Amino acid sequence: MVSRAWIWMPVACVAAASAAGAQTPAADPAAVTPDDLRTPLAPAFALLDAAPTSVDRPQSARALTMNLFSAFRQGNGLPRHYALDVTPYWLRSHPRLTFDDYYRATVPQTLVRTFAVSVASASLDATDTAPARTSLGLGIRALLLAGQPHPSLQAARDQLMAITMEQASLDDKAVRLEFLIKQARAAGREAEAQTLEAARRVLESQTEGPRAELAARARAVNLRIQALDKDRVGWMVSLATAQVIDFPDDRFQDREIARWGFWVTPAYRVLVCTAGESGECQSTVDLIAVGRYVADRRGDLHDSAWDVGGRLLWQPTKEFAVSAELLRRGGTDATGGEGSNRSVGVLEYRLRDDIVLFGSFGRDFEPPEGGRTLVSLLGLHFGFGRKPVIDLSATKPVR
Amino acid sequence: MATYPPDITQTCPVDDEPVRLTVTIGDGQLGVVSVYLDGILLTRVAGGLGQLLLGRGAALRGRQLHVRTLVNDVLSVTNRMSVSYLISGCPSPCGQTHDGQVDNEGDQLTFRAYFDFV
Repeated sequence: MVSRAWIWMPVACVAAASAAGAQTPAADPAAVTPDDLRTPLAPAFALLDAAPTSVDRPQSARALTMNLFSAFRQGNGLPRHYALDVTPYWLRSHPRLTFDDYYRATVPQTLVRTFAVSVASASLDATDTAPARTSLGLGIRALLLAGQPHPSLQAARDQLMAITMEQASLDDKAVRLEFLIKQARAAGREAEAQTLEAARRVLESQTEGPRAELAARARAVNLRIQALDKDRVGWMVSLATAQVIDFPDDRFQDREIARWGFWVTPAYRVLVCTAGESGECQSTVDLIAVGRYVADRRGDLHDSAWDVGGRLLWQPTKEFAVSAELLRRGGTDATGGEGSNRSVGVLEYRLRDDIVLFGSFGRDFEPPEGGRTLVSLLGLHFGFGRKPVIDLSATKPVR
Repeated sequence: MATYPPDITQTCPVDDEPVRLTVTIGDGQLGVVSVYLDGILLTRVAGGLGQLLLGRGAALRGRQLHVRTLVNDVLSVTNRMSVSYLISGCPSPCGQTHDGQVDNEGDQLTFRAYFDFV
């Protein structure tokens, strides 16, 4: 399974033409990214302010053990730059879990099947002003409700079963020949067995083309079903929490809890295709609510911040999305201890699988020191990366 | 790396009780089960197979049951696949679980199991 992390990279900031007369880009452009309201997939990375370009996602207990062993060996102790995201339920096989069981999960079953643990470590070398430090982030995430199957799932399933039936039927003659060959050999009729074997080879070559064609069609539908699993509709509720522990000077006894936080994200998705429309329905409306709290205890800091709000997202096609979000922020690091609001509209356009162009406009939170609150931003998201690397210079504020 | 399931061969003693076959495709995957007796197709079904009556044990003795299951990787959360067989009506339990794993998302595997009734 290939992992992929999104790296935020603003390419242009446009503010000068606004009616408010703002002259400079947003002070904290990372505060208005398109995925801002989602519960982080790997909360440990989010809270560590780290942007791993890739993450180890072992699919078996053996792979997990080997990954950890390798990471500890390379780090000569606690791994210094490591990212791991693992869903324990899927580390082993579940022979009794049918496709229908998977989609008819109860709340406890959903919790167990989606419970994921993320671990990340990052080290900073000593500078003139700060000692060396290793930070360890630990996070967990789970879905309480995973949504209902996409309405197109049944049609895709039927299509797949029709193709697979056709594939399986290509074996019938070969199976019969195989049985007759075994029987002939058991009875010592080698000449007959060889004749049958030759017939089997001819049959194999004759069916090679249809087999390849059907396999390609089946694979396309399989991938479509996998994609539909991620496009469920109805209620989806995700929960996450994480904690970051600092080890100043890499001394275990000096460890301190640097940050902790939790996220609750209920969301509801509906399909909004018009009745009788031909083709596949891809247009969706999402109503996403968010509640999150992050406490920062690093050094002398005793800040905390909470956000409550929501986002309305309309996605008429897979490539294009329009959304509006409203967030209320409070906490001891908000403006003078008072809350402030953010109301922003965001446009997103997927240029390629790994590149998303986005623009946002609206009002940002009140900065503690005062200043501009206009958000007017154009940027690109790049998705890439395969190796587990955490670059602390590419940090992204979690709030 | 893909784990191709080795063929399963098992001998199942039978008496005169009705013998039934149950096949479950696990790990949340989807597939088609084909059941052959002495190389002749008995049935082919999409998804699992529950309590298929094969016949009385005495009529099955000396014959070979072949279960061939073509499984699709339809879940992105796992590349594992498994097929479980249970043959009921035998004096001693007869059945196994067959595991495999695909390399690439959306791939397929064929699981072959042979049961000789004695």
